Amino acid sequence: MEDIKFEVKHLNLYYGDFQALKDLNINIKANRVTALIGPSGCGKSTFLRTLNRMNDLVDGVKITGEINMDGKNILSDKINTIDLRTKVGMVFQKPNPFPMSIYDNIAYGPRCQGVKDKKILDEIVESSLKAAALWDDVKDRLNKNALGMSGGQQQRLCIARAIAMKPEVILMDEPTSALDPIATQKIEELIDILKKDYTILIVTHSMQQASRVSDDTAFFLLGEIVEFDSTLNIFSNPKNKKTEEYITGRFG
Amino acid sequence: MKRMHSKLRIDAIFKTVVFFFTCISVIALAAILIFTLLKALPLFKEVNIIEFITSDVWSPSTEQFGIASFVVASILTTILACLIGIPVGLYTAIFISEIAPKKIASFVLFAVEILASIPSVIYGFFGLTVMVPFVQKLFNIRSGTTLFTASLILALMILPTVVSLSTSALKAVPKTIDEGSLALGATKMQTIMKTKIPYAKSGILTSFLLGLGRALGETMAVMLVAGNANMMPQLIPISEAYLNGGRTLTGNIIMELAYASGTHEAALFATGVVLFIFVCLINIIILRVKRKGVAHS
Amino acid sequence: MKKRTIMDGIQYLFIFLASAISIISLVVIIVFVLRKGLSHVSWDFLTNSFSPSDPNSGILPMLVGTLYTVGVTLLIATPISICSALYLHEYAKANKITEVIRFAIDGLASVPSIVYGLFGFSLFVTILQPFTNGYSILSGSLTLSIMILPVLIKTIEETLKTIPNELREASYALGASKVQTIFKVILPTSLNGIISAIILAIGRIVSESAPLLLTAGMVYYMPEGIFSSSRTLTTHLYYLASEGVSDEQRAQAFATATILILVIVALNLIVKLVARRIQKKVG
Repeated sequence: MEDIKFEVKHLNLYYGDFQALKDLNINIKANRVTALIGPSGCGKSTFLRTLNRMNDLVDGVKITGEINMDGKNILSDKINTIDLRTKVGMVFQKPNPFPMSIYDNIAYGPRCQGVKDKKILDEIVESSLKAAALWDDVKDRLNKNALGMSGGQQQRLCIARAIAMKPEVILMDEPTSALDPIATQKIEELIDILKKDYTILIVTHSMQQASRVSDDTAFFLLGEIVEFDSTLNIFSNPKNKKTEEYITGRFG
Repeated sequence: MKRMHSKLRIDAIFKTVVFFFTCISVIALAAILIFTLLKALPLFKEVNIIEFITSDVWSPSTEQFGIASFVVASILTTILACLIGIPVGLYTAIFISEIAPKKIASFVLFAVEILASIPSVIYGFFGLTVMVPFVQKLFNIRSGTTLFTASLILALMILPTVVSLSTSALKAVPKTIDEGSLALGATKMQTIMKTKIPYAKSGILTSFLLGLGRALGETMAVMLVAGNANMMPQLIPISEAYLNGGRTLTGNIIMELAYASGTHEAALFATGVVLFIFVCLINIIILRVKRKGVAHS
Repeated sequence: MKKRTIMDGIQYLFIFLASAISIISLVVIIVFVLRKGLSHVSWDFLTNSFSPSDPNSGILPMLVGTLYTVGVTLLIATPISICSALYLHEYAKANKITEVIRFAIDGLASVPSIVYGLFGFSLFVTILQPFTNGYSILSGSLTLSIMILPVLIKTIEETLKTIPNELREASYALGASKVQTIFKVILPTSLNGIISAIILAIGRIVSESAPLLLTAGMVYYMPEGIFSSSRTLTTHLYYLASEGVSDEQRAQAFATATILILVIVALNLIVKLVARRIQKKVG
């Protein structure tokens, strides 16, 4: 139960001269939901994107320190980022389905890995959509363009698309910030189900969401982790004054 | 794991291929400069460069090569074309971006796009069949193939360049600029003339200069209506220059290249080099203007 | 206050006058050419061969020559342009090399077409004659393909810019490689934009004349292949306009101009339609 998925040691990240992450040390536990909270620009999203090396795509980023995933440093040059990203999936702020059919969206990742067998793909599509609680909504229109779905459905499609890769970890960067309350509720229920099989990290702006969905919570401020504890402790008994001020809404 | 490595290798190979194709543009530009210059070089064994530019005697049969009269004709047509085309173009741009209702604006813009894509041969043909007789009657002169006619056609041809680029420059002016001026009690027209145009200055100026470049480099249309007489335009009075035929730099090249050889051919390439230097000068000014524009905002 | 309104009024007058000139000149050119040319356009005119002495001459060889030129030029220029746009938008970092490349592309855009003609003449027609057969469709197309590179590259790059970065990230996050992302997401998504860039380029190729005169020559026979010298519609119109003296040839000139205008207007309309389709898809 207490398996550690990510062991982060002295992680620093610079955009050119600007230091966005300052000496982070944190252990993320497996099969739990960890929420990353903090005001805008505090580095929580940046941190999330180091876990699947999405920051590699940004010009002028420099990273030092270690992130050990199952004992292997994923920041090492020897790590194949393509390989890493199949193990660490990601769901973005705004739903971003590809402009193709629902089926092709889900099959995209497996196909990129060279899966061609139609039967296997069919199975992956069905099981992924079921896992994302979307199967019943869309099973009759798998060949319709994904852009025709509602925002909430699109986001669940993006989650299904990530699940189709059978990842170990799912990173969620404010996954409900573009959705209405009902769609948000559905996503949160989904997260609760998914944590049995996956390690989930979720960046969120909403304190309520963090307290509802997460087991652990890390509070970020100005590129540092101010406090990291179980969600229960953070919200009922924060040790740091800044944390308390933030969760009670005194700044943000 | 093996499959992963091959993916990264494909990525690297593809990047190299794409980069190689991208370099073709660089190689092409270099090749254009080198070949044109190399072909022009033999001329200067026979004729010195000052004489080439300042002499108005162009007589291939006696090996005399001076392009002064073509330079003057090019400059004359370009200036008049700009004097007509630029104001019309700018005012049309104001109409499109500021005054016309959306539907009409997009229609005018579409018309301008078509004007831009009509082949220059058709402009020349239209000039030859309509403008030349018209000019002849208007001024009651012997022949309507004149530098004035060429200027009129060129004015028409640079119009789309000026209109479309000025329109986008004006459209890029932020709304807050308008509002600031209107809130101070300026009329709409005052806002356009005194606030928006100065704000969009660098873009508008760029459109003028690109129009200028187009007029200078245009070949076929000018050649069909300018008469191509190999003689120095008489500058005093200026009407004398415009109401007679003349040959521009571009016209000189296209008229004679097919049957030229030796020094004659080199002289035509040198004419191209001179034209290219003019165009480079315009481009340097454009770069300056753009840089200034960036510094302003 | 009064003076202000008068000044404004004068400005408005100028603006309407200028816009009227722009529109009217377009209408006059098109109407004039079509009115005199349409009556001469017939099936025979489109399918007959040409001879200076034959009053029933047609333009079939020039139509074929134009098609050849468009085809070969696009065959050369399109892959180069797509690769260049991909490199500039998906790979290039902000460094000296990129600056040089962008400078070169801007430079190519500002070279006057007659200088392209000189260049094509010296390189493709003269030096590479053993490969291009001198004045030929191939020489002309090679010259034109360099000439249209800047337009093609710029328009395709603009299309790539409209693809939201989220789509690229989504693809990478699913473990796709860069090549997979380019071929499965970026190129399919920008297909309409690439098509309209190509149509724009076709317009440029069809309109061009000066460089072709110096590189493809003026032979009016039916081209036998890319190594034949050939006339396009524009160079043919130039010939008819400058040397055609008989009434018959005048009529042929107007008819050729009519065909050119119809093609150009059609291409512009297609670009508009494709653009509208793109907008619908995105919006």
